[in-house]
Amino acid sequence: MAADLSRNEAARMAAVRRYDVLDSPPDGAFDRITSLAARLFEVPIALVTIVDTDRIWFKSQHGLDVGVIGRDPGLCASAILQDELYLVNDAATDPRTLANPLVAGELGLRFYAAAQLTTHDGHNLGTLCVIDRRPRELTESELSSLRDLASVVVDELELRLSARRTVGLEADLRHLAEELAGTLQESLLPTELPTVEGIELAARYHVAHRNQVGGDFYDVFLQPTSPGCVAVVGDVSGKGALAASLTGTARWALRTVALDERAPSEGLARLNTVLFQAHSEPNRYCTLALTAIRPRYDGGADLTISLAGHPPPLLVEPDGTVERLGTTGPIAGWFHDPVYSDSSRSAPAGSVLLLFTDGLLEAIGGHACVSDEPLQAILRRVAGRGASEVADALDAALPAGELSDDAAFLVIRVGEVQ
Amino acid sequence: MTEFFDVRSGKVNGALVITVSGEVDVAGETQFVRHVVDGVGTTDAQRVVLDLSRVAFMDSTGLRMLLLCKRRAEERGIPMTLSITADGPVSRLIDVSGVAEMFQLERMG
Repeated sequence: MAADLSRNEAARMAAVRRYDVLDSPPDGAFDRITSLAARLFEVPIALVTIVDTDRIWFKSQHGLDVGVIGRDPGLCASAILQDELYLVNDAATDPRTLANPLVAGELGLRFYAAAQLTTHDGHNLGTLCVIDRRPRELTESELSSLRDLASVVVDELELRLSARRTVGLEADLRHLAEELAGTLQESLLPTELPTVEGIELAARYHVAHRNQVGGDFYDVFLQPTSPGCVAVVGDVSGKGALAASLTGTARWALRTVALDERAPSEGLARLNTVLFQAHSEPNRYCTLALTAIRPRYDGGADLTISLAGHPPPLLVEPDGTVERLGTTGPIAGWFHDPVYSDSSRSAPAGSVLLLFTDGLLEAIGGHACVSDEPLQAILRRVAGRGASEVADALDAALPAGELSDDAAFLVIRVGEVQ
Repeated sequence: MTEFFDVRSGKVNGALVITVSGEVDVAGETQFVRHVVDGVGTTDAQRVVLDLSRVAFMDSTGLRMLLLCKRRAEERGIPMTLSITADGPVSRLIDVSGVAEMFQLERMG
């Protein structure tokens, strides 16, 4: 019997701790219940109590200045051991209480009625009790009211518990999502840019939402048979897991199809075939700017560009002239057999080529901006500078706080690193 | 300043005319699918006109929606025309995306 009691007591204390209510700050909802109980039963004192291992703590007290009493003399401690209402109509004559210090002492308690705060899984956390200094009797309907009020107290406790749990769960989920998004994003972007003779590179990536994988990507890779490199910036329609899977396919397929010395337009056409087949119900597409950069002995470079539904890259020469490069071709992955074309141009040493996603236009030009004029203005100011300096100037033009869309860009400076 | 996305549709001389205004981006995707893409996919009209001349902004989500509309119209064998403002945001998006030839476009001054 005693062992049973202590086992139950351990489970009950676990429940008390789960609700995390002990020593919590005062709460208007419970104070309203005790003041309502005092009015309803016309008693001077009404309490919401929680029975701890060695004390009885008052979550709310009406008509009493004490916040806690020891568990030993506590009537509430006796009350929680049973499931029926605990009623003492006249403590002075009741054998259970006549020796109790609360009855015999200064408080002079005569009437005590408690309804247990029983959780949905059957643990009595404490009581809602009403106390008077004169003997009383409650009618059947008053007893029901006391039970109902105790249920309201439990409902309030449950509500707080589930709210706390939800907040905690949300925080956990958000953290997990951010971690996953970060890891996935890293696998979709090169960990570091390659070293390419005669070219200086800088790349930046700004995600709009930390907990979502973006649809933007960039890559720079070497071709074994050619000098220079191939650079790409792309944007997959949509966000999240679906977009990420297409981004991964696009990035690695492109590396494969562009391994040999093929014109960028041919690379895009092959990539389109891969994407079109990979997504048999092609509900997604991507836009890309694909560029081959071949350095020349005079320090300049030959650029060949092909676009798949992507904003044209900007070339700024050392004298500040800015030009859009490339001829528009259709988005990749949606149409069966699109035609892409190449545009070639030679760039003198010190030129800077900027590949970017449309998120950068909006980030720098302001909400809903689709013009590249603001970008051009920045590029003119930094003409002739190094790749990192140009990237820093663009970063500096971004607004503070969250962006509305992801923004990625790749700065390619023609000529030896200074 | 954000301009809210809005869709209205009606029948004019046997044609389903869907007028879209405001900003078409990921925020309005569900609504666009329900009212525009599904509208095209279930119409008994002989042709469809998407009036996009009052669209203030459209991103890649919007373009995907237009491509879906085109697919639905083709599945039903009905012609679809996009009515757009020359030099407007939809024109720009369609041009940059290289899909101008895929649509029947009515560009208005």
